[in-house]
Amino acid sequence: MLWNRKLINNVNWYIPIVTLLLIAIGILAISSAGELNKESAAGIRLIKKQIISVVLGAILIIIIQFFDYRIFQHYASILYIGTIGVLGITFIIGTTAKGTTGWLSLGSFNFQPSEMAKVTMILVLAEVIDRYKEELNYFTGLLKPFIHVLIPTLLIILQNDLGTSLVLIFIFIGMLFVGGGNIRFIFLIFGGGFLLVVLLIASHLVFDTPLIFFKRYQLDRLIVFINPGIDPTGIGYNLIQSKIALGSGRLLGKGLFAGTQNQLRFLPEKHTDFIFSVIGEEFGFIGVLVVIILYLILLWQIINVAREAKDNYGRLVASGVAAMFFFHVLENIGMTMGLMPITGLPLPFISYGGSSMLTSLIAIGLVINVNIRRKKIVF
Amino acid sequence: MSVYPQLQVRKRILLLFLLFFLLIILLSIRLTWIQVINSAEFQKKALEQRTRELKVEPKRGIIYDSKGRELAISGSSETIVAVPMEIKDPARTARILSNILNMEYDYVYERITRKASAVYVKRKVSEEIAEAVRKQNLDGIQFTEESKRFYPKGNLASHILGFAGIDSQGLEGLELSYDKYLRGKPGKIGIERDAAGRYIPDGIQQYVAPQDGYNIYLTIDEVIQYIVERELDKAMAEFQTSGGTVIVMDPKTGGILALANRPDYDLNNFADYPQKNWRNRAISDSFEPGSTFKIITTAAALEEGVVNENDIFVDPGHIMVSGERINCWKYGGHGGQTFAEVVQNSCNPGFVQVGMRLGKESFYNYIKAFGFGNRTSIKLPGEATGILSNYDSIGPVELATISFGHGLTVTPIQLITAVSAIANRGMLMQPRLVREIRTPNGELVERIEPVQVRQVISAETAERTLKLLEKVVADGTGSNAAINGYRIGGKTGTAKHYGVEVYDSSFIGILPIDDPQLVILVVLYDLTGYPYYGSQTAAPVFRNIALDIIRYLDIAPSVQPDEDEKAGKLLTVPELTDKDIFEAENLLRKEGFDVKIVGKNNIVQRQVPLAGARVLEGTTILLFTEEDYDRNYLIAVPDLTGMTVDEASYLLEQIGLGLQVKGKGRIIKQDIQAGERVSGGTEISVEAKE
Repeated sequence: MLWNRKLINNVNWYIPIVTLLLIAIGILAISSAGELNKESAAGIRLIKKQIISVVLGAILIIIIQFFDYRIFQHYASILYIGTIGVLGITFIIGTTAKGTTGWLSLGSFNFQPSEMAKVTMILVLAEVIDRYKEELNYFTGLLKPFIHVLIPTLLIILQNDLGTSLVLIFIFIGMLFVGGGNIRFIFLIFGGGFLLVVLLIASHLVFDTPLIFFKRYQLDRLIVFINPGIDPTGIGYNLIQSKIALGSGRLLGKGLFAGTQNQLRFLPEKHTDFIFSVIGEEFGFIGVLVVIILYLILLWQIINVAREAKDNYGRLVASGVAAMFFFHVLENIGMTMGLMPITGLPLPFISYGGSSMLTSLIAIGLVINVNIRRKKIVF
Repeated sequence: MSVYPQLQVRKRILLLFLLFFLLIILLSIRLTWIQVINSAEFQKKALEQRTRELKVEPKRGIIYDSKGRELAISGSSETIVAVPMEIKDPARTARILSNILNMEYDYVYERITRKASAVYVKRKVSEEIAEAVRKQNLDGIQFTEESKRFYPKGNLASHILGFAGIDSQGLEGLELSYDKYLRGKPGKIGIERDAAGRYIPDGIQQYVAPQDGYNIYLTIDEVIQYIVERELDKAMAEFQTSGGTVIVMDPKTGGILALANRPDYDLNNFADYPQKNWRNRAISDSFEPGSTFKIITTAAALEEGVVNENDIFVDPGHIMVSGERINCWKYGGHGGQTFAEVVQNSCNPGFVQVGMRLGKESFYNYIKAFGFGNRTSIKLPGEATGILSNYDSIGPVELATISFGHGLTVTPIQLITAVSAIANRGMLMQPRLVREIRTPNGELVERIEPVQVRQVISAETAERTLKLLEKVVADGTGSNAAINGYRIGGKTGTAKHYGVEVYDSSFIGILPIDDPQLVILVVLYDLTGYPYYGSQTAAPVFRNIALDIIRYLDIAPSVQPDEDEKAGKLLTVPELTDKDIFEAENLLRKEGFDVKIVGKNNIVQRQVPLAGARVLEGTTILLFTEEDYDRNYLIAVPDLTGMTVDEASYLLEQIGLGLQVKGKGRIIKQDIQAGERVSGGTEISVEAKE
């Protein structure tokens, strides 16, 4: 065991407390979205499952603390192979939900490996970036970690889970940046890639050239946020309803259980993707501002953990986790108000979903691990 | 350990956070836009999305007569609604419904299988039909209550009231012209629904109560209207005529007390009648007035001073105008006569001379001033102007014929309004039907005051004209209109249709002359066969109407009545059957009855009225000595449904029938159907209900 009682004194308590606050807000929002006020059996089931996930996650956080995080650096190759293996198996035997072939059934427990892949890839990439840190200033050096991230990203894209693959790419960019990657090259690769995708899409829309990776409906889904009128009864409907929910909540909100868009089921996916809109409707601008500020505090504390980390690996892990949370928050909240494409990324700690909750808590566990082991000489 | 200085790395981490921070600020700005600055619009959208508005029909205002009796009311009635989604066997449902509702199967089937949440099958059906459908217990067939217009008096005043359609919109008569008052404002219920369109229990968000229509109070008096319609019906039966119009007006205010036309229609079943029956001939049709128009000529001539009562006119039986020969109605003419006698005798050549003395310009101005050629502005739809030739197209012949009421057409309402001006000291009034408009709570919305149009002639001329008209009734062509004890002025009119033996006959009367309270116009259209003269047809109708109105309004006689009709003492008719005819006659004459014997035998077989009837002193008792004769004296039973017991008893007493009442309130049933002819004194059993 690498545990030392003194480690507990090193904990940055902001992190678990803010996390708990966010989870509490989430459970409140899920109760409303699950119509607990109408004694909905489904709602009670949602809350139970969410709480089980939280408890499970908390146990995992504690277990993680008994290992020095560097053990993950040591076993990075095993983690990497394991991740690709599970993603591959999922692609072959996985079940489909909401268009995504990303679910593995382990008995009665459905699990989404792509969620977990985000965390394992943070651990793997941290090792890769740390290993090649001397070469990251060169284009060829950048390519090595890039290839590492490419395989799982493509596997996730093949499972139709565009959102998660984008998270992975973002995490990778963030970690490369912190790890000392050449900014111009990073910009060149990803900016160029982004530009290429945009050009492909634009040329498809204007000149009707064939699309390479997407099908047309996926493209529509992606760009519907620019004009919900493209598909007002389909995916555009979600966005329209979400904006109405947010807007009609106004400054102070309609009150818990009193959100009409939520309670009258105008708002779709309200306990998962659009949980933020429920909060906006029932607690108003003030309510969502609290949520946003809590996320900012959490991100700031994780960033602090990264700054104070004992080594480059720990720093990269914490940065990766920060990037992951940030991208989730940006994408999810941005999506509810039509600033980002609708991808179905959950709001960490708040959206209903076991895989997401476990992943997020494990990530918190890793950050705490880096945090408590920040001092180089323990004994 | 690292090629990078620690500082550089920390800077990059901070830069990363800065990026996070900026992007989140961007989100917050957008959030502020949606939730704070622009939130009202989203709030409205949210409300629109979840509420569905249902119209709540207001109750249409009630139409009352001048004494507050209901002429048109609104009740609720059942409407059958189908919910297509819930109908499991549309073929069977359509079959059953089409049978009960007497509708086409295909039509019903098409409706109940529509892709709609709910469709009307049939609106506003009777209670029995609704019950019959309800008993079938059909899936997806529901009932809702809608407001239905109901006219408790059926045909009564049909042309005044008009009717409202299925959506409670006024379509004819006052229902149309006062629609904006009667209609009311629909309310609404904003019903909250969820995303699937289901209603939310207790989810009513807003209820805007409907504003029931205003009630209107007419100048029409229901009893006078009854009297008028009854007499009009009798005239229709008696004479060979296509129809008729009677208007009763209060000359002082222009208020119309009664207005009726034949043919008419049942307001509750207006669709069952041809549209021509809906036509309000009193205002929409014009006729050639003939001699009744001479009143206007007389008044104008007196006002202009071109003639006075004692001027002598000579009538050789015709008069030549610009080479055209105009005949007097009396073969051989009236010879020498005063102007008063010209009026009395309705002598055409005399009036031609009066017209010539007036001159075209002056006469034309008076005709216009009395309102001819223009609408009277009575508040009813479809008023006609009548035909008055252009001033320039009137030559000497036209002037001559107009002088005695030919060569122009007038509407009945124009004629009575003009004559009422003479009865109102020369002041022309606007005809008035509505006195007051009140809210359902009785608060006054608008009082419609009598409107003076213009002083057409002086009060003095008016009085002189009336005196001349009095003589027409007292000693002239209008003697059939006379009522003992009352000073009545009037004028008959008979106009032959061009080229055919068809006549429009009229009588217009004013009473009492010393203080005119009533002007009554009777017009019978398209009379064929004898009698057709206004004096023989319209004048007696006027008399019957006037007599009953006098009793009803309790108008005091102006002159001492003759001995035999003194103060209208009531006598009981004695039993006379099987008595000797001479004995019976003596007995009756001694008690103060008049007697008429029908038949050639000597023993009284039947009598009308029957023994025990209370009648006025001087009433003629018919004694039949032959059994068969009484067939000619059968009385048509009136429609009593909707009347109060008092009204019915009054009405029956007037026509010589008895009444047996079960219950109280309004009559709902009568044992002998309306229109059946029964002998005098027969008792009609009725059922009444509150």
